[in-house]
Amino acid sequence: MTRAEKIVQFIKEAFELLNIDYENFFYYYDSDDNSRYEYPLILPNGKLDMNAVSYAAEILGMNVEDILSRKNSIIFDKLEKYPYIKHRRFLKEAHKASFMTNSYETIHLMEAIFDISLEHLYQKKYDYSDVGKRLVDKLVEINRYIPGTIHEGETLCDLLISTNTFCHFDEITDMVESFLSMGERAKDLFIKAVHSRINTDEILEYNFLVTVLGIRDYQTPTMYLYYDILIKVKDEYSNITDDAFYSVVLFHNERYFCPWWCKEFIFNKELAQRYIDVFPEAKGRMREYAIRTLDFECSFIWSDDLLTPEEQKIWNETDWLGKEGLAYQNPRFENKTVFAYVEKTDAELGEDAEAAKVLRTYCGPQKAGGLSSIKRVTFSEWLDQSGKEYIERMNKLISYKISYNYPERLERAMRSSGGNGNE
Amino acid sequence: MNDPMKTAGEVLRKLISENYSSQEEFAFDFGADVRTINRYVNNGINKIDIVYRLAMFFNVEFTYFFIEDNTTKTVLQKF
Repeated sequence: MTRAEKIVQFIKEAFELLNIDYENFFYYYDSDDNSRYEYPLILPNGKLDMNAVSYAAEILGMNVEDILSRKNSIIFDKLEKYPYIKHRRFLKEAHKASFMTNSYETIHLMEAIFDISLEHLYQKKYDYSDVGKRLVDKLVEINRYIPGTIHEGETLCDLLISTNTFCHFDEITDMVESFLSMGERAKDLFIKAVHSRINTDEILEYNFLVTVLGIRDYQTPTMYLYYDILIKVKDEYSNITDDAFYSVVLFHNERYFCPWWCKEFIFNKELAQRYIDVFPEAKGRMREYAIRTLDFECSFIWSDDLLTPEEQKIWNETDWLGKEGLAYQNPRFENKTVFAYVEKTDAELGEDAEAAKVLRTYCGPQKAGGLSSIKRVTFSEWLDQSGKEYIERMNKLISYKISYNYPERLERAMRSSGGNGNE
Repeated sequence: MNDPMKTAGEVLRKLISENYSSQEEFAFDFGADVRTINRYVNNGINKIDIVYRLAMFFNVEFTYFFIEDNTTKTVLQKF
């Protein structure tokens, strides 16, 4: 293996260990053939593309020199410093296992030992065919209150049944504390960078937090606010107030962290409240999760609402911009998916019953025991208060996005270097 | 019998007034746009899953939203 290949391997392993999606940063989508392609870190002449390596360094919050010297200790230091990252993979495993019967762990171990897939042996916890039968009874009941719910003589098509469960995960408290402190630290560094200066170590720390938390602006939700770009656009944040911060600066990846998967989080109301204090929008996601733990969510389309072959052809040939107009002009093209909920039996709820009820209470009004969520200043309100114009601000941010963002930046660098790296 | 969807909107109006000082405050807590909530209250709620979510939120039965008496009498919620 050449030195360049070893360095590329180090980079990819760092992404893997730190639970950062490599494809998100180094793959691009080609609409011509509807496929995704990887940007190579090694140029055709066998040398490292140093632009790509410096981009990887920015994402990982590392110096380029540490990447070139393949300094593993920095990766392990980050894992120790941030329990949120260290335990993330295991949380996902625990959550996945909660949907299966007890044999899942044994089968999963066999897969690891023999490096084979035994997914066909996984046994799901619920009898979904029975749920389908109970769905019909439920629709009959709803029809008593909402006539027309049942389409007489028609069938249920495209039926999908989904549900949620809870898992045990002792480390969830550490993960949540870590996540909250990472968010607090990122905010402090952000504000410090906007109003004064941050040193080299702080820049590395900040960039890494940008990656993990997915820090982006409300108006440019695909552009990460790494340090180099933040200082170019910092005037756009000079008057940001504390109660507007999270409305203007999005921590995009918060939506992928669901500590309420875990009973240890649910039965710790103080921790749950602290989480909602920072991320009040999570209360809605907690409610969605609670709904699907107490019930099976069923979605379907009545057979008489299905598009005819001719209508389907029209729909398929209409571009995505035109679809909404099509539905507006002709009700046949409106989305007719029906959602209904079938309560779980006591046996199906099992050990999840108490946690599900507590979570449901958390998601309700504070008067009824729900978690309190304090209304923030919205982005629009902040924009009005700051006297900025929406379009003008967005154009300013986008102009930096075009000049700075990968993978366009990688592509341009590749073209301009003529494929000649310097490593 | 009244339009059940309109009844659901009226029941929602009542539940909001009992638990919040404004529709805006409720909308934020529920995680919806205040204009959407305003539409539900004034024009009715036309989707079963929305009623279900509201029932879950207020900890009442799904069918509670379709009983006309509940537009006026005080809710005795189950805890």
